[in-house]
Amino acid sequence: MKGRLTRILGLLLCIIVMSSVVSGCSSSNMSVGSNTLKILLVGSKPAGFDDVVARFEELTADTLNIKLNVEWVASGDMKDTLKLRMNTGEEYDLVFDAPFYNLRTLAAAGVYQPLESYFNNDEYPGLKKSFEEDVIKANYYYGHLYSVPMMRTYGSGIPCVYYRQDLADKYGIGQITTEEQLQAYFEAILANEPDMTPLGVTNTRGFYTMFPIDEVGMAKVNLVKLSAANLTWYVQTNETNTAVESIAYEGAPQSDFDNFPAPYNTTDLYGDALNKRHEWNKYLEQDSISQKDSLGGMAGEKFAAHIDTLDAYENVAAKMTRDYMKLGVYVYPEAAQRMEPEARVTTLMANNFVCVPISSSKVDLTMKFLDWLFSSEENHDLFELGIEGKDWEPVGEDQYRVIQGETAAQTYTFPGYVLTWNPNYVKFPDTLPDDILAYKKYDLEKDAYYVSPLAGFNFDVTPVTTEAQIVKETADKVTNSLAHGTLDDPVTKIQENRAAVIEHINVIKDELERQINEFLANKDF
Amino acid sequence: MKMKQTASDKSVSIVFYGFITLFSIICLVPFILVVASSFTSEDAILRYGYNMWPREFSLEAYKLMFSTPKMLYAYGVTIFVTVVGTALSMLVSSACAYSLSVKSFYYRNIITFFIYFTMLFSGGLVPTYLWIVKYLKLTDSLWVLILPSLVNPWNVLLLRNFFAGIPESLAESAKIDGANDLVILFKIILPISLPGLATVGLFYALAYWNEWYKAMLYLRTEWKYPLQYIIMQITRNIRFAEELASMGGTVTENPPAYSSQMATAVITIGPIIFLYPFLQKYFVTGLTVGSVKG
Amino acid sequence: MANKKNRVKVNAEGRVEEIKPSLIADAKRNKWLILLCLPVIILLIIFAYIPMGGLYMAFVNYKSTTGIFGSEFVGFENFRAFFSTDAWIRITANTLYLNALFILFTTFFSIVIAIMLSEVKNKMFKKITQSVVILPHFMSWTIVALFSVAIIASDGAINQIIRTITGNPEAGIDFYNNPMAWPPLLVCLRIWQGAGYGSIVYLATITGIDQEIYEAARIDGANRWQQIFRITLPLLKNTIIMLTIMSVGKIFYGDFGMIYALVGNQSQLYSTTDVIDTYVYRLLMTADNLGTTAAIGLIQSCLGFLFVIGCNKLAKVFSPESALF
Repeated sequence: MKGRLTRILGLLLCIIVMSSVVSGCSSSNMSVGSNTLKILLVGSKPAGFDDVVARFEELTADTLNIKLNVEWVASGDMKDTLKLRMNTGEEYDLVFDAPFYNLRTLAAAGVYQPLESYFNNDEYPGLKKSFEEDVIKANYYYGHLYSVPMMRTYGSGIPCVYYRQDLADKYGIGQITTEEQLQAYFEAILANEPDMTPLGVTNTRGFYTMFPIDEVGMAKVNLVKLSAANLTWYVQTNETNTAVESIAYEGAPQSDFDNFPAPYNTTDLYGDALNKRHEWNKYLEQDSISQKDSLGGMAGEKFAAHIDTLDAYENVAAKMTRDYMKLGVYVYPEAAQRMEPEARVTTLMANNFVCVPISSSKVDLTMKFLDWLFSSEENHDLFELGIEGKDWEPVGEDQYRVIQGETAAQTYTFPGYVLTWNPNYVKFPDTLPDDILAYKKYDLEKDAYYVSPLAGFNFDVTPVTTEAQIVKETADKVTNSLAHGTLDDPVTKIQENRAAVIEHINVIKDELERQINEFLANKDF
Repeated sequence: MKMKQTASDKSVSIVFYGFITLFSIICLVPFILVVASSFTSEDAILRYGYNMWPREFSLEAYKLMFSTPKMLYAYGVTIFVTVVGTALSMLVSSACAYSLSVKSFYYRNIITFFIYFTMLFSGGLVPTYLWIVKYLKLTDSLWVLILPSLVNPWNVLLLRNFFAGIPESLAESAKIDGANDLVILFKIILPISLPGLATVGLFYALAYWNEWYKAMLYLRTEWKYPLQYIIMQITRNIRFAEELASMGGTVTENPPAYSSQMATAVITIGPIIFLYPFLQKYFVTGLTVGSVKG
Repeated sequence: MANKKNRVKVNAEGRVEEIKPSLIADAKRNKWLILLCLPVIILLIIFAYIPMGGLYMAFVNYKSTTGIFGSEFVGFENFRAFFSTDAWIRITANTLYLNALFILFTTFFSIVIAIMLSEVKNKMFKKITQSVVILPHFMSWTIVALFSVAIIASDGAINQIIRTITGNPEAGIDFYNNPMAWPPLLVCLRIWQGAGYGSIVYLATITGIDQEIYEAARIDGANRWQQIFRITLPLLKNTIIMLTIMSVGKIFYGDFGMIYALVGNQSQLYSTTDVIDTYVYRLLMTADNLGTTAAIGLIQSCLGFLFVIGCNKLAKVFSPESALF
């Protein structure tokens, strides 16, 4: 007994000693030289990224002389990781952040360096030519540029409905270009395909932006639709766009709309879509309110259509795995479908950013790196596409062909939105069908958009957090149902819902007006 | 002498067997679904949902999991952490639990309270993170997976409970023979506490095996990531993509398939299924018998 | 109190006299016992008590530049966000009653399963079922949520059973729009997940019971039911009470993993399923404030602590040796 015990203890001791040795000598502390930038990006490290970094360091050995230490964090972990590291003051020189991670709260906490002095600055020519002045100004948070916008298009992907072209052809509908045709398609599915639901939607989005209102027409008369404090608002500013004239919201009574210019002066502004959704609710599955994955459902032939954007084209196409499944695309904003100029409203705000934490001691060096990155096509493409000749090949003027590695995991795929997206340097993969390519090129043009009168405005909810919380709780009771159109007489329902918390809504409304007026007074673009 | 089963005893038997069987089926069916789905092709899952038997057999989920060489390292790391961690934890916990079980130990209640208090109050993420990273400097060290969770108050108190169930006469007779507490612990108490030790050992081992959160927070080198972290990453990425999509964002990374999620569950549960039957032999009555007599 | 027994000893003249308590004497007498406790105590000081100082964060306006102790003191300001609306009443109530139900039912079923498993004689059956019942514990709630659709959907298992039983094709429970259906659903899922795994502890305790006691009872003519109720259960009492008291400490911490995975963003279900942790999670999505997180955690801990002290005192009254401390 005693012998066994001593033997066990002895073994334990050995293990402990060995492991200390192992863990001790293994920590590979990256030499943090004075010229190494510590960068935190999101996603999985692309295959061949080390070669790209090496090439960069080679190319700039005489000029910038910077080394890059890039850390990649999984997308599901980034939110918590970034928040923790920024809040504990860990030193990084460049990090990715976004509204869907922690950008607003970290910017408010003063964790990021204001960077506006580096733009429109002749000492940084690369940045000057790649980032337009109004785009930079529109992406200010709390009065400063805390984050460099990473965007290619001025909007968030052209909304569309993906449908099964093979089924549309089968039932004699052909290419879908109007809402009537889409409805006919749904009716055909309902009548002929018992195992399929016409339209797949997800729990929180429901019909999403289908049945859009004429936002461009509205914006041209300074009537802007925006989201703040979990509600949707309609803000009318005066002719010179210097002050707010009146504000209404989704669910407000008719009186709030009387001051709007015709034809936007009725509750139909929000009522039309709500009623349409209710009418079309029969095209959804019964439990649509709990569905999490409508795309997967379409791939599995449970749904005959799925709402998304053109940006997701490659993704959706990849999921249509059976040969007979042909993908059709119906771009539902009419003007966008016809590729007209000023088809959609843009706020010029990006959804992805890179920021420089205040814990960094090399702000200038970091900005010089970004400057280099955006100074020429070659520099930009090195990171976004990889090493020319090894990872990709140019095709024509603005397309490229990916040189596949031995497996998919060995092909260089860089998530451009984390560092390199910029409207001046866009190349398209050569695998896109011609019509989609045409749409994407159209989408790149700033002319395709109409700049919102309130571009750059961000509502700061902190003065009215309590009211916003109360309103949200009440609104939550009907939000998803309204998005799916499950409620009868939705207009009355939403009006009753909002009327229940009218005092709080009015407090938020006043604060919104105050903030917008302040914003407009200081707006200089 | 074999007792004849009375009618009422028989009815009790039937009820027991019946209930356990029913409950076992409820527990087993979802697991079979998970296993079957992990061997199903992604397309079949999207089409036909989850079934008890793969509609379209495919190893693609497992190939995806094991395609990276870091899986091998991950297994190594996890085994190391589990073995060393459990051994140290058991050593430290049984020692303390024994002391607390001695009814005449003056400081018994105070120390118990001291231990339990930590279950209720915790500094929170940011203070703990700062402490471990800035002051203890345990970042990127494998020991960060072991040391902070070396002592689990719940387990210690559970062990105390098991030890308290041992009749005091055993310890007393040993004391009369001149043994001190250390000897009593190792030579008398531990050998007859096998069910309790097996239970708590199991709990500790499972905790170490499934540790991923600390890895996410503190480890920076790829080969040091434990198994569960790599697995959780896949699930968390899927969940994040779902959340992003529901908030209106566009997902540019193609989220991994449903079959992968199933496969991750199988890889996690797998070892426990193999380990547990071996531990069951400690849940056998009769180990205390024979020690009280004489 | 057990400690009082040591306060007397028989002196040289054979008379009983009281030993004057002295710290050093006590320490010497219990030398080994204290030493054995030391590793645990030291580890807890390092990894639990020192970070606990960070609870101070609940009272400051934390900024990463000034750190925990350098940031501006704001008193109870961080607590305001939680109490600013009436919602806290509902979510605290939800947290409490859901957790109470969970503790009650999982304990009950864990004991039931443990007793049944210990009574069952067939070795093969026992081995297999023992391994099987712990399986649900290892299935993450995300996966359970994926399967739950097949069970609670309008054409899912539950509704199909209801339709077959009542013969009415329109009958059924609309889980996704009916918040009242969720507490029973959550409790059932918790039982399914935790009863098997929880039975391990009770099974281990039962295993440690001397078989001779059962033999003696059988000779006296007791049947199995009587054996269970008169022997097994009372001997489980200490374990049951101890585990329950320990669970009560966490009674103000909602099961975030389960509820977030199952209910998620389905706001129409919040009235019965929203607990403190899920509510705060959403609260922090808009107005993230590390001080608020710390503040609410502090409230949850303090309230749980009070409950534990209460339960422990109660236990001391009814069953002193099973009290935790």
